Amino acid sequence: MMNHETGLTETEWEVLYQRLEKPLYNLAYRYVWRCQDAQDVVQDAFLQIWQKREQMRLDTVDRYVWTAVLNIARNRRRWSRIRHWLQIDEMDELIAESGSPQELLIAEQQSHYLQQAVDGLPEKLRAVLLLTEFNESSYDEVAQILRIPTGTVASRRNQAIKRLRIVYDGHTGELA
Amino acid sequence: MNQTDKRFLPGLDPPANGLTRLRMRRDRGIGKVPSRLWQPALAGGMLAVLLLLFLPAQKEPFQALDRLLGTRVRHHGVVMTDANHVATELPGNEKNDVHLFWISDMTPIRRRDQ
Repeated sequence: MMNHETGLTETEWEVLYQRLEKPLYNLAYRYVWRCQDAQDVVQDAFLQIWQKREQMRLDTVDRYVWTAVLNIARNRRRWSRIRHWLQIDEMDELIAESGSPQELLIAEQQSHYLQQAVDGLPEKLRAVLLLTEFNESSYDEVAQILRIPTGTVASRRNQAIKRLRIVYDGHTGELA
Repeated sequence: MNQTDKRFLPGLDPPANGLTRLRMRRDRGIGKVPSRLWQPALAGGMLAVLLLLFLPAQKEPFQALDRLLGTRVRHHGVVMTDANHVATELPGNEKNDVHLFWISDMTPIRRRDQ
């Protein structure tokens, strides 16, 4: 897909959304930890793209949207901490999944431990981990998004996973 | 191709009808203030109100003291400059309209009174 023409049609914009919605949502969710907020983050990025659609290029729009989601998610995370501090945040979303009460409890605990582990990572490690997890492209692409060398992407991912294992295993004694 | 060995975090499905919601948000109008921005604005407003309520309460006793002392000394050639200082007019040169003032620190007097 090497289209250097400027401008994005409505169809291209919608196809892009359908293709990237899920991985971007997963990235955003690990920053804001709320379903609706994560979807808002992704959609805010796509609304930005819609506004700038005439300057967008199909060959670079993927990188743009990943960067935008990352930035918006980081900002949203900061504000959600302030909201939490001011106690004007609503109650946490309930996990509505099928399964026995015991399974639900275990799933909820694991989810909580995972959140603690990811939240405990320094931002530079978290960004690399989440981008490499959900961006189906190469480390080169992630390196361009974060403006760091490709080798740094690999080393930061390894560091992140090591730290995550320590924290997560400390809670659960196992790792998915 | 991704160079990651295996996925570490579970993949989640986004809420349903995302594209429909995105279209609706786009059609409602881009460039509007995001709805969630009201929360930081509200927090700032509340902080400002608290400051306005709190600061006058702190100043009130000093303002009252100023008024009381000002009333007491008004007819004795003494002028209050603020809560802690008094300006007493000294003989000057009336012809050249030169006025001299002696500024006294009132802080020890107030402490003695307390």
